[in-house]
Amino acid sequence: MEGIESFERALYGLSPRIRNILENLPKRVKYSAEEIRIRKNLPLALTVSGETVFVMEDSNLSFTYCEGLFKPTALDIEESFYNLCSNSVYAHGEELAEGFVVMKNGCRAGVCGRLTNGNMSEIASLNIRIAREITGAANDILKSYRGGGLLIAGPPASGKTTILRDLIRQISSGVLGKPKRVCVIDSRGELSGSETLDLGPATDVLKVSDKAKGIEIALRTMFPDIIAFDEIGTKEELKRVSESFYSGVQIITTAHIGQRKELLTRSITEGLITSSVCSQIALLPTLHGGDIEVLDAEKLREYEFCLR
Amino acid sequence: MFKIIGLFILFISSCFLGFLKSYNLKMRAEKLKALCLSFEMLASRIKAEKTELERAVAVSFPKETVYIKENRAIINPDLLEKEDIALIEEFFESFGRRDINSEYNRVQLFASLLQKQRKEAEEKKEKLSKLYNSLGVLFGIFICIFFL
Repeated sequence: MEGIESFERALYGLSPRIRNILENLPKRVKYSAEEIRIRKNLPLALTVSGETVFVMEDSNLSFTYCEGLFKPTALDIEESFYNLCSNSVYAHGEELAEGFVVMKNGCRAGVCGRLTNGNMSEIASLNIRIAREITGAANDILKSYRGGGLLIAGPPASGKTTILRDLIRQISSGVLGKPKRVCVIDSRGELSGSETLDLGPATDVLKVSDKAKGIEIALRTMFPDIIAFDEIGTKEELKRVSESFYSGVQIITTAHIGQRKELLTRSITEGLITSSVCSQIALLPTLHGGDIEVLDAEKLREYEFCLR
Repeated sequence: MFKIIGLFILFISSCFLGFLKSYNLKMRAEKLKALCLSFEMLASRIKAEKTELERAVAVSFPKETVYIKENRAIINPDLLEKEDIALIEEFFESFGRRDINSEYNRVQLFASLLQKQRKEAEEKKEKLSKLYNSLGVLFGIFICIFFL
C-alpha cells in the first residue's frame, strides 16, 4: 500500500535502533502517520491524524506520557542526522541554515539544534514530515478549476503540498484537455522528491532555493504554460509572479492561512487576489473535517468590498 | 647438471626478490602521488559543487583505490604501508560530518599529511631502490658461491 511504503521509505534516514522500533508499528499507524518526531532523551513521537502519540519500546503507542516509552539517545539523533544528510553534512549547508534537510525520498526533516553563523550543530531534535504521493488528491479542485491562476490556501498540515503535487501531475498529463507544460520551482525538493515522485510527463523541475529567481529563470528559458511552486511568502516572489501573469503564464501556488478572512488581510495573498494573478482560490479545511472550497477570486473581492 | 639448474633458479629468485622490493617502493610512491591528486580533486568537488560523499569519492578516487560501500570507505591496501592506510582510514572515519569550510580544511590537512608520506616514500625510493636491486643480485651470487 502506497501510504505504508511512504512511511517505510522515510525510515532509511534513521538510526537502526529507531528504525527497528518503527518497522514494528501496526500497519494502520504507518498508513496514517504524518510526522516522526525524534527528540534527544525524550519519548519518540508520531503525529497521527494531527494528534501526538508516543511510541513505546515494544512498538505500541501511548497517548500519554508514561513508563516504558522509547527514548532516543544523543547517539541515535547523531546517527539519524548523518544518515539524513547521506553522510554529507557539508552538501546540505544551505538547507541546514534554514533549519531543514531534504531527504532522498522527498521527505523534509526539520532540524533543531544550535544555529551559529549558518551552521547547525548540537542537534537536539528532528522532525521528519512524510511525503505522500496521493493519486487523485486534487480531484475535488479539478472539478471546478478553469485553468487559470490558482491559489491553494489552508492551515499547516492540511495537505497543500500533496494536493499541489497531484494537481501538477494531472495538468501535465492532460486532465484539462491536452498536456500543459508545467515548470515547477522546487526550493526544498519536496515536490519532486529528488525525482522519486511523479509530476507528470510534461513537467520541468527547477531546484533553486530562491523562488523569485527560479520564476525569472523559468519564464526566460522554459516557456511554460504554468509555473507551480509551494508556499509563496515574499514580496519579491509576488512581483515575479505578477510579471509571469502579464507574460501569459498561469501561476499555481500555495499559502498558509488559518481562516478564510486572512486571504484578504495577508498582504501576499491579497496581492495575488486583487491583481487577478489567481482567478480561483482552493480553500482547504484542517485535516479532520470539511470539504475543499473552490472560490472565485473576483466574487471574493466583490464580497469583501461589500462587507467593508 | 641439476645442481647448476637449482643454483640458477636460486639466483633468479634472489634477483627477483630484490627487484620486487624495489618495484614496491616505486609503486608506493606512485600510488601516494595519485592519492594526493585524488584528495585535491575531492577538496574542489566538495567546495565548488558540494557533491555528496559517495559520488564525490567515486569521481575523485579510482575505484581500485578507494570506494564507498554502505557509507563505509573500502580502501585497497596493496602497495601501501600501514601508516598510509591508517591515515586514509582516519580521514574517512568522520568524513562528511562537518560544515563546508571545516570539511574543506580537513581535506586539505589530510592532503598535506599524505604529501609528507609521499615525500618520504620518494626519498626511500631514491635511497633504497638501487640498493635492493644490487642486494638481490649479490645475494644470488653469494648463494651460488656458497653452494658451489
